[in-house]
Amino acid sequence: MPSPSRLRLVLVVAAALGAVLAAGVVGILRSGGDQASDAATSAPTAPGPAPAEATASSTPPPAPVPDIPVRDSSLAAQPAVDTPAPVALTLPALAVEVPVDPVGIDPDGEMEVPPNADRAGWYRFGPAPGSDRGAAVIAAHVDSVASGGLGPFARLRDLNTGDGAVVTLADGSTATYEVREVTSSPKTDVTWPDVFLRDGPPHLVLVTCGGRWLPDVRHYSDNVIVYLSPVEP
Amino acid sequence: MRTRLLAGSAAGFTLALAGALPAAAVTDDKASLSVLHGVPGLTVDVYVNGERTLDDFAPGDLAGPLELDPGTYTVAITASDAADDSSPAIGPVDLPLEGGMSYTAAAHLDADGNPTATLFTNDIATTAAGEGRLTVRHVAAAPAVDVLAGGSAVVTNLANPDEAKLDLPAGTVSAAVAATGTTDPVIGPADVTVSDGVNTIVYAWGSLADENLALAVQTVDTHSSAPAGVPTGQLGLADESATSSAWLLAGVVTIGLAGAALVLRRRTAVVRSGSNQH
Repeated sequence: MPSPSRLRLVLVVAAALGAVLAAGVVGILRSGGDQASDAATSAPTAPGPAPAEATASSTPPPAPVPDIPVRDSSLAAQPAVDTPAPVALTLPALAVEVPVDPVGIDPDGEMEVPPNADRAGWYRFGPAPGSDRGAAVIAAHVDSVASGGLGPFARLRDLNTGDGAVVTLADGSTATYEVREVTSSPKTDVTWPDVFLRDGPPHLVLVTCGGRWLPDVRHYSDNVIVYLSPVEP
Repeated sequence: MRTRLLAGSAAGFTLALAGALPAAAVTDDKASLSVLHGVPGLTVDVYVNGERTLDDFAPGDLAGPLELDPGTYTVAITASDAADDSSPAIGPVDLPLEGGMSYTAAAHLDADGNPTATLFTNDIATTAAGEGRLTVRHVAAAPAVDVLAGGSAVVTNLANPDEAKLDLPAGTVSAAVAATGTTDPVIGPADVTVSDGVNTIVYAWGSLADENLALAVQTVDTHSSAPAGVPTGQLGLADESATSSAWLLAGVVTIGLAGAALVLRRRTAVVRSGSNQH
């Protein structure tokens, strides 16, 4: 009867021999062609790259790996990137329904905003509401000369966590959100690249102005920014 | 079809997939590599570090992007029925790849029609808000060309295997390719989409003599820019330093006055700027 330590040694040696044998079989199988290579990948090996020690010796089993995406590069085969544009925003808690226009960049490099506070603008260079990643940004004037008064976004700061929002898209579908956070920050403190996110979890951002009116520069001191998370309708 | 990536074996070659999206953000610690097949009439296998990585890769196909550890990778391209990479049709070529960079390795014809391979670095530097980048690459068996946008030349005398690039407002560009100094298109015109925060890379490939010139298109995310601000107020009616409902009521009444004040201020400004000139 071998001692426990000796037994352990025997087992280790046996396991090593088994591993070498398996590697040899796999090598033969791989040289045999595709079916063999499939068989090798289905062998009960741990996923991921083989350890460095194994790669130094003969042919180890290949790790299971995903396919490389291959696509037709012709112009006609380009994927359509257009998700439907938003056309309206509804905030039931505030009894607000506001039409939404696609907008871009103004000559100062700031987000273009519809001149009339009764309309909101969607930043068309970023994600659309309902897309699978990043921030869809919709902004409106808090007040405007064109509307002659306050607009519906003047009440954004009255939203509460959990309040709902529904965005209607050009194809008639809707994207539904609920308020996660209502913030008001000095404009000088807002880091816009952290608001206009292209990637990360999908969400909706509503923006207007708030704080104090600064008559010298004719704009407000703050931005009111509301972050909303998607929910199932 | 066996488009399978064999990894991790004798050469110690490991790959991780960035994701199946055609335009994926590049991370700082990985090199992003795509492979374009621009040799007409030749279906190939692509070997990376001795491993068959792309099988039955067809002309006009674009593979990737792959996220790779930085390092030098040896790529060989063989006929699709080759048993290994011992007698490649193109290469082997060494591709030195740096982290945080985006590359496209193109198998293509040189100006005289011989198969070759070129490693391009895709410009992912920050684009301005509202702008995208258009890159044009000449990888066709053809003399130097001009690239026309909206009928006029925006790139002149572009020779194989060179590239030209420019940043443009996001939108659609009607692009065509003509022999240098001419405006009669040999390719196009075709509508090419330039998107904010995206480098749209257009390849002219194929052979002029064989009359199979074509365009291939690849998109790579650049580092995009956000707007510099969101100016969303004009009157001061929502001023929170006087948030009483009385002020809000008064505000509605004083809209007309505010408007008049704005007009007055503008007039004053005009007068001031006028007087400054005297």
